[in-house]
Amino acid sequence: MTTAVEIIGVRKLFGATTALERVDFEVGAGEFVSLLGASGCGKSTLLRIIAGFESPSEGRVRIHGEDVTRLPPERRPTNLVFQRGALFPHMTVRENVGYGLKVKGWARTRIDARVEEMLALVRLEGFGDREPGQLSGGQAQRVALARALASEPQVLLLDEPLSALDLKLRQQMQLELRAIQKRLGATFVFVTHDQTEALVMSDRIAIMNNGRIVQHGTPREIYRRPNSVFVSNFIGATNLLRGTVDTRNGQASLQTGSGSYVIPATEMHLESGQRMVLSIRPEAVRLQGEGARVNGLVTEIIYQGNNVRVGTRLDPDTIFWAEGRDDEFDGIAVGDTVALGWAEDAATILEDDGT
Amino acid sequence: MLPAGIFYVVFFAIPMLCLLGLSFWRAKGFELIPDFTLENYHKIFTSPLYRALMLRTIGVAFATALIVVPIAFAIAYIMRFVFERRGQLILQIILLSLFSGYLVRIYAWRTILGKQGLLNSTLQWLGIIEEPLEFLIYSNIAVVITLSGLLLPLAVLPLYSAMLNVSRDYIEAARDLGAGKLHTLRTVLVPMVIPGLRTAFAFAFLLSAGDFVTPALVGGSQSMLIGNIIADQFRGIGSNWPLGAGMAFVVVAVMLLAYLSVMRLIRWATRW
Repeated sequence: MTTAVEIIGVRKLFGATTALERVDFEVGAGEFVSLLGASGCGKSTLLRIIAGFESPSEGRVRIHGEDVTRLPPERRPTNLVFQRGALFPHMTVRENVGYGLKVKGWARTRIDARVEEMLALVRLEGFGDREPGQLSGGQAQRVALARALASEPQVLLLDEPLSALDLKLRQQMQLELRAIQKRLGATFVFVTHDQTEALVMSDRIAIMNNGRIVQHGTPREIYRRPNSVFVSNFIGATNLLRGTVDTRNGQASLQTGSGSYVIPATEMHLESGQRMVLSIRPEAVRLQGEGARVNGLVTEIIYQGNNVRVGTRLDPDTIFWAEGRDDEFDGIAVGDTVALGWAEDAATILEDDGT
Repeated sequence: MLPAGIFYVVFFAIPMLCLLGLSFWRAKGFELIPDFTLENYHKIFTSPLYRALMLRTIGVAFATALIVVPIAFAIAYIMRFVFERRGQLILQIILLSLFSGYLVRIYAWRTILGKQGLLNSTLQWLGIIEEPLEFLIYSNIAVVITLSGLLLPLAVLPLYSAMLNVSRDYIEAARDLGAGKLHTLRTVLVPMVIPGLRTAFAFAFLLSAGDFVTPALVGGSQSMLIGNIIADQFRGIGSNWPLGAGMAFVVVAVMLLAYLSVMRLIRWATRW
């Protein structure tokens, strides 16, 4: 796989504040990569640096091997889909989609054919003569996508394009966007703060925090093997058990206020007395389950339709969540004491970074 | 809408209709005689003086608008897209400058453009010129410069307010799609602020076309505008209200025509 985007040692300062701290990152050609993080983490700044709207304070950006760091946006082989569409209100849908092609000096008939092709791609045939004001939010974002894809950019950048849509439409658009990306074999860099969105759509996710990429990998790698407490908290819900490592008896375990838990095999070097955190996903927790066991007092039962979440108190400071299908928790009531277990290797040991 | 409609009728439509009616009357000495005669209009359209003044007025008004609108556009652009939030501060300063009053500002320009004025003495001090530039005062150029200075703040306001409604996203989207800065200006920003541009042009063009104080104070013997001759019809010896009313209506019609042609031109130049 060739590399589409290379971010090499990019830093960005806005006055005295640092938006990005030395970011090194690559996006492969044909990949769908999400930059995921809370607002202010630097994800949009990084996207704008790739698009050319911000220039990095240090470092370089290459696209398909060409150094574009000093190129203005209009000379970069990238196109951006804006959060709020940014369709030109004084042009029709057709003129919007054809704008970039007209700027490039394409012939009228060629533009028209291409515009029709793009509108078909986003399933808006026959919408060419509409004004942007006559479109629904979902349609407007589809037009914005068609406009950005029309001149076949080498990399398509998307800045939270679905965040203004309601949930149902957003979920539908996620699948559509993914299907379009696969069909075209295009490279997409997608910025979002919505972890589910990132998990559903991406080949790879880069999680950002405080101007850094803290972890990147496939959705599965990131969900199953978060490399920090921050990531395990950010992606999905998790139970965190804090304690000190005990390596006596040949088997590493974590001593916590609520008991001692086996630490699964890890590449990390563990020493007795080290403060660590064990992260266990709620859906890995079973009632009367095999493996590690702990007793908890049921304090909350949250019915979610397809799933039920049960909160149990292990010790005064720790609420432990289990999640599973409705029938798994039949007959349990608040105030019951239940035994909880999980497969040992379903837990992840992490350094205690205080988050 | 209704209160605005009533206001419009009482304070604009009715006085204008009265004036229109008056333009068909006759004057005999200081006496106004109700009539329905086209005599006034006949006089206007056959008078070489009136035609010359009309042409000069259109020229001065166009020149003023051509100076004012681009500068106002640039100032509004900088306020909106460079200074962003701090643009509001500049807005306050511009509003403050309007407090100084119309006549005071004309006199201020006189001290700048005069023979021993600020501009001439600075240029002499810098050694760029030896003798004062005579054409800077009591000339058509002085009228255009002064009118431009007077009307610039007024023209900035509608443009700035129109640009406040243009999200930076649109500018960036155009750049992102391959348009250079000038192309983005022509195909995206200008079409999106046409209402503001229209108002700014109307302020600059129509207010300078109707002005008669500036030519009197900084203009020369050949700088009289149509407003001066109309004003003369309404005051003092030799006044002729019906003739003045007729002149005023011809001016309204001509200015409206000129204004609409320019709007057409802008629309054509920014077509996509």
